[in-house]
Amino acid sequence: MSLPSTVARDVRAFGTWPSTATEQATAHSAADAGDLQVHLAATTVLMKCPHPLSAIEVAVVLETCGYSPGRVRATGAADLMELARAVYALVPVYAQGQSTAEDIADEPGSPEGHARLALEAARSFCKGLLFSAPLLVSLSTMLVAGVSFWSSKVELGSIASSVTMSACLALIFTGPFIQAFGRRASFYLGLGDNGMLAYLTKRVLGTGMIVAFAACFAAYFIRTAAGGPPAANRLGLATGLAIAALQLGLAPFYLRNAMIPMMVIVGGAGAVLAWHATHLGAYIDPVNLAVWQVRLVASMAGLTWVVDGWWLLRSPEARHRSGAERRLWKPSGAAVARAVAPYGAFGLAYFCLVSLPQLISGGAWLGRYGFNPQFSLASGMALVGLLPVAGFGAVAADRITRHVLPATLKHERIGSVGRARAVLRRHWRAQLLWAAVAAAGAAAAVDVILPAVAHSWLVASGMAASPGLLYACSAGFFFFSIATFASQLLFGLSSPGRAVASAVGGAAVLLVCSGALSLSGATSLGAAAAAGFAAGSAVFAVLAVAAGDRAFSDVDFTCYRAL
Amino acid sequence: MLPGTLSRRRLRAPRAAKAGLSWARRDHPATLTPKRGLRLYATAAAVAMLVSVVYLTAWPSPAPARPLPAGLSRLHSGLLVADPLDQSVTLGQLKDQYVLDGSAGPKLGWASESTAGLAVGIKAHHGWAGWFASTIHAAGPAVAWHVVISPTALHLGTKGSGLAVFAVQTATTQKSGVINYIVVAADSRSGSYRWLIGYAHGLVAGASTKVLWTSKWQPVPGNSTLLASQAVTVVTDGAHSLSVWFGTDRIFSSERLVLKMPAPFQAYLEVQSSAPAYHARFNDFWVADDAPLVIRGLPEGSRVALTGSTAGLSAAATAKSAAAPEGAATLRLPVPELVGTATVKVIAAGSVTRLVNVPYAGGDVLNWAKPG
Repeated sequence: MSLPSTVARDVRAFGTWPSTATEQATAHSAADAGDLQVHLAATTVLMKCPHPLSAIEVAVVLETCGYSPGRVRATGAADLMELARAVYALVPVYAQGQSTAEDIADEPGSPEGHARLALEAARSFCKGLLFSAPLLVSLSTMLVAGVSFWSSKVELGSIASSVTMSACLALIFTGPFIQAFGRRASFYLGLGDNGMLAYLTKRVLGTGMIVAFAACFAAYFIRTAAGGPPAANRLGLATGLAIAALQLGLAPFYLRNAMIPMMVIVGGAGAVLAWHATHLGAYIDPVNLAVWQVRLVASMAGLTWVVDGWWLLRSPEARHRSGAERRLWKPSGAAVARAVAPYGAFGLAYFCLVSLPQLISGGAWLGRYGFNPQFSLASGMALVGLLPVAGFGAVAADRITRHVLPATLKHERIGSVGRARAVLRRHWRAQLLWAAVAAAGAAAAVDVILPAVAHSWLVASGMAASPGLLYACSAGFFFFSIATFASQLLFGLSSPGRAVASAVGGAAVLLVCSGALSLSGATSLGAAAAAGFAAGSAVFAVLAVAAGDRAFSDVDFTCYRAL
Repeated sequence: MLPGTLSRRRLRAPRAAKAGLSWARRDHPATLTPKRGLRLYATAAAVAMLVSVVYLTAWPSPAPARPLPAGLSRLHSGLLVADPLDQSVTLGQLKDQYVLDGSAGPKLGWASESTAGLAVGIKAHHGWAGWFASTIHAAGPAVAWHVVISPTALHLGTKGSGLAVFAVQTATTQKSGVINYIVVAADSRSGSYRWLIGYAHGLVAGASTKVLWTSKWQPVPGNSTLLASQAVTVVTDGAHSLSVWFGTDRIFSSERLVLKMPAPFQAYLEVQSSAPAYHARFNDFWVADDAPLVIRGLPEGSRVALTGSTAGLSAAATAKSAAAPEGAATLRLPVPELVGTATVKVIAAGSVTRLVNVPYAGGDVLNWAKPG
């Protein structure tokens, strides 16, 4: 007879047994007796209560499991207490017998446990890199050809200002809709409800497109009315439109984990861009290049929308459902809005944190905006630090919901909520540690290794950033990475409220800190933006990690029981 | 048909109720066949977005449209930039075509365009500083660069000097770091001025200038604020050849220079000053191919004459050509008059056809559709 490994794990993990020598002797004799009924009773008890504290507790469990006096007598025991003592004596035997290599490896303290967690982290890290494919491709083309999808080292002030402003606005205003869509659409995707998927796509992504365009149009109108360059402002508006469309178009790719198609589209566009940039001849016309970039991004976005409509937003579950099953209750718009509001709020605060510093560095607090190349360069280089951890977090969160939670539910179902929470907490802390290591490694690479190894090359490529700004931005992205990771895990636990509070707190600190520094004139605008970003991200990280620790220490399994 | 928006559902519900449909049918709207609707929606949204982006990214051309009289069509345009600089435009509109920058910085440097021309100036300051409007687009090497410069006078007793500069500079600085350029400038000092031509070599910042030609110092006439305007045309290959015209007079030409100026080039309309406030006006800026005008589609044996009428070809000058057997005539134009408006006279089989107000530029290829 075999005991479920989870029970054995619990039994071993809690391994302090109040067994005396007499009891041990009794236990062995009882086990040796080979009484099947007693063993069945022991299994039953351990399924419900893996670490009984005494024979009395075992008796209580036996009674609740339907061991009536008649059934007790059928086991050969005189009464319930005798059976309970026999069962209690068997507990250590089961624990020793079921200590498998797997269980040992799962122990956090053992070298094998560390190795397995490290392997998991490495796998998540590599898989997570795919999540950052658009940014990775963009960075690669920047390093190879000096031009990315929406920036280049060929800088024309008027174009750079309008393009970066619109790009920031597009990111900020699509963020809430992407988060909201991701949350809700995954639900209907799982249910196989294509109708609701279509409804959500039109309503959420469509509204996101309209809101982002409206924000970019407002910026265009204000800048043009203030005497700004009309053609450059139109280009900025087009940039906002294209980037918003791309952001929203890629949302279903993340939803469906369609990383390969995404890589094909983004990588293909990156290759075309690099080819174009390297064949422009001796002079790179900034207007020609910017127009080319925006049209390329728009083409990518158009392609993603077509792929979404024709493929990704059709639930594979739908064909497995009968017509009647597919007639799902359609919630009201208000109900959907309420359900996704926290995710929208998180998206807004999150993208404010990552995008607002650009606007602040350009003088947003002073009522104007002009592209700040020093800050942009430092921020862009430091962004490298975010890439691995952002993807890592997404994969880790996915793993929590798909694997770790179901596994811990086994513990929970047999009555060991504390044990289940301990496993979850241990998993969370280990993942957090690896995330911090990855983020710190990336930040060190950006701050120390990259300049040391490739300083002359970076200077020659026009990418020498101001060290102070670079360090501040790196610190900011380090914290931001950790916060992103913690937030994703909080979402994995369906605790969006805590993530929202953390992100909003961080955004508030960013605004206060950068506003004070900008308006007081104590620092340059770039330094104010970098300091605000670092402070805001630090607060975001601290709050998110604290919230994560609380959430993982106090998981409510109620909603997962139905899974 | 896509099922369902809430509003549609509200509209549909009473109709469904009338039709006697079940509760389930009414309140669980079909989510059965959304595919076509979503596909159409996504595809239409993608197309609309792409069209919008293409429309919004259309950049105003640096060369205006040049409508031709009936019977003529343009197969190729040799006009790369044409800006008469005689309109009132906002600073923003100016920035769509020119980069405004310089060592003076935006607090000291300024530029504005009105009906009088493009004024580029610098406020009073200490030390040598400059401010310029440079073309965003680059061209060359086989092109002619032209502008009319009206420098400011610095009267007697004014300390320091000012330069009104027309420079043709390599556009490869971002890749090579080289800032080599050709300079044609009016050098104004206390009560006098002179014109000079030179070239400069430099890397990243700071260049040393070699003067190739200078005019004599001339006194500033009377109390005039602006000095006499000078139409300047420059042609260079960036390697060894440089020719400069003042008006229609070629005042400097050499084929043996060592310019080290990789093509393409950009034009700089610039002022520099050692201290005093200084500005200059620029008009009639154009860049055109240094190539002949070609007219095709002519009857064999016909003759073509291009007679200047407005800004371009001077009234006395006439370019003539006999059409080649293929019906193409090649007209070599004087470099300073590569751009303008003229009358084209085609003489074929004893009949004369006149096409008036024909805008032309060096390198243009026009096609003449025979009447009838």
